[in-house]
Amino acid sequence: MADQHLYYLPDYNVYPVPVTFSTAFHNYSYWKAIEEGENVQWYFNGLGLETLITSTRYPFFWTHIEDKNTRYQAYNILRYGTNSGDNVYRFTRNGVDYIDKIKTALTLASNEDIVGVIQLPMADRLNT
Amino acid sequence: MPTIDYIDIGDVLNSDYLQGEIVTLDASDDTCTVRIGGDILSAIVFYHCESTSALRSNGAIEGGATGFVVGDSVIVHKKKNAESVSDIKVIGHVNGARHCDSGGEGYYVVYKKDGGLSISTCDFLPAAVTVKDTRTALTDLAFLNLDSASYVNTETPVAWFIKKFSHNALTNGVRTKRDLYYIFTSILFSENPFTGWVNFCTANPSHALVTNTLNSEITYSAQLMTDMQTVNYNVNHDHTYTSEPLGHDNWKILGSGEGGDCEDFALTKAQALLDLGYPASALHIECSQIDNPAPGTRAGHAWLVVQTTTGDYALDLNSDSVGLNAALTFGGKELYTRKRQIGTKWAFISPFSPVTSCINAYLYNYFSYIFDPVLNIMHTLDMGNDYHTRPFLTVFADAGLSGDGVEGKRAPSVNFSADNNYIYFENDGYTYKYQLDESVLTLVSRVATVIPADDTHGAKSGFIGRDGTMKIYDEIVKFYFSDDPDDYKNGYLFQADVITPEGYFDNEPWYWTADVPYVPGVQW
Repeated sequence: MADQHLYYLPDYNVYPVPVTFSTAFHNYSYWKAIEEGENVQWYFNGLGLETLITSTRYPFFWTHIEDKNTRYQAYNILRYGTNSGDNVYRFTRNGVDYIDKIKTALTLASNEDIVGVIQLPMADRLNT
Repeated sequence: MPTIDYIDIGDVLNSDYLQGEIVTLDASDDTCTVRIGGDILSAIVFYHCESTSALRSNGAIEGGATGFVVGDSVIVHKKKNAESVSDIKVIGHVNGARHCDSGGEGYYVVYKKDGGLSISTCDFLPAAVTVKDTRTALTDLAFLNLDSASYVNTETPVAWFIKKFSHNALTNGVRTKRDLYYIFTSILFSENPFTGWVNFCTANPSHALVTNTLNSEITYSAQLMTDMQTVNYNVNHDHTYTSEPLGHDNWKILGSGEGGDCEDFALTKAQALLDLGYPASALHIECSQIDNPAPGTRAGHAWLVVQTTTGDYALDLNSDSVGLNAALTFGGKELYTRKRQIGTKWAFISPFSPVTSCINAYLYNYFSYIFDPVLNIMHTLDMGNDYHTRPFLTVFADAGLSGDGVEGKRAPSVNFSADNNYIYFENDGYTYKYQLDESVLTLVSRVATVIPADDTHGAKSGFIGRDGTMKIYDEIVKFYFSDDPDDYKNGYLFQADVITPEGYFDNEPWYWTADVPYVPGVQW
């Protein structure tokens, strides 16, 4: 195990933890701790859901997209309706925030109007 | 605009224009390998997706690879005395031009609008999101958004994870390395959207349309067009249209003088062409909803598609002339949710096809799929005892992937073999081994997952590796801070994160350390 990296536990006292999406190899596929909350240290740490289940019916909205060979694209929108009214939304594509672009294109008033983003790289079979 | 510029007539005579087939594509530098005859040659893609596309230093045109997919029949410009990869250029499609995938295509946004849900197809371009088309989720697409009490919820979020990997898929008889996608989502896609077809398959398991797994084209000829025209006209005039009540759609090949509805006409035409010797691999039933149907009229339609080397043709009961399938409408109304049958599978044809007749499940129901982006078929991975209740992103030291005693249901683990031959999927104590064979995802084996002996966690924990075996991390490891053998800290496994390198999954452990003996709360 000599080649294992040593990691530190997150410091629960420091929020929000900045999240960087990049094209880097081995980028994490999920969102780390987001912001302070009485019982919510980790929104999406694979589990950590017990608190969220009791707090809200729809705690998160998760989208991860890898598109083409040369890109790593990560999208995350987290919905947490009971955190002092401060819902968390992030939507980035190659590190560029897209949530305003989506709202503008669809003339949406609120981030909360967005329910999901899907990407499916289909062949154009009507053009063959 | 980059062009191929000949020096003199000798240069022209030194060039061959050949036909080939794309074997691999690399969009990062717009190179590819192309099969010409029995040879597989490295080539550059010299194809303009935009008139302003730049020339790369390797001689390729930037972005050109987005105009092709593996398996495309292409025109190749090759110097007779080719010395370098840039002397072999893929310059076009044999079957005509195709839209380039600019990289921002294929996106859907599900959003709240006017008290309900809508879905828009969008391009996600660097400068802006552009909307291409919009449909209401419930009424136009039968996209049901569930919570525990309602099918028309507007709050339940759509979870979507998509990851590309390489796989040696059997494609038109040849095992070819190409891109597939693993999808983990809250959306339940229907594998059998048309009950009538399921019933037909059950009743006619050996019918050529049912057993076929291939997707091919018939070489176009005047005789083929004559046969299509004749079959279309005869079936349209030899049978009477008879509607069937909703929910009692009986798919059948019509006997002489027998009446039926649209899919019966399509099946009867397919049978007539099969009887003439045409292959089932090029004959497919296509179904769609009709845009804005008049009240009291049918909302769906079906017809036969014949795939040829000059395009796909529609044999429709509403027209005695055979036309290009892409241009087919229902009395001028768009057919916007097209799905095309290949054997027992259904391929997405229209942009809105994937989000038609599916369910976005209420919280913590997730489903795993393999998506074939050439045929546009969604293959469901085994759900074990049920769906998954949580994502597969983390292995915990105490509960592993099992979640036993926590949520009662396991998260899956998936990986893709290093030799690209297999897809491994671990779920509910079993390891599944899959391979894509034409239009079918073949289950090669299903065995009880072997938990490594050094698993000290007492749980069915772990992460499926690229060799298909379960990986477990040591619960305690030593971290040395110098050459002194006593200068170490014990590291206690906290969790292991699933990470996503290109083309496969990996796992990275997190430890926390403390003085020896372990004192809780001291973190390193």
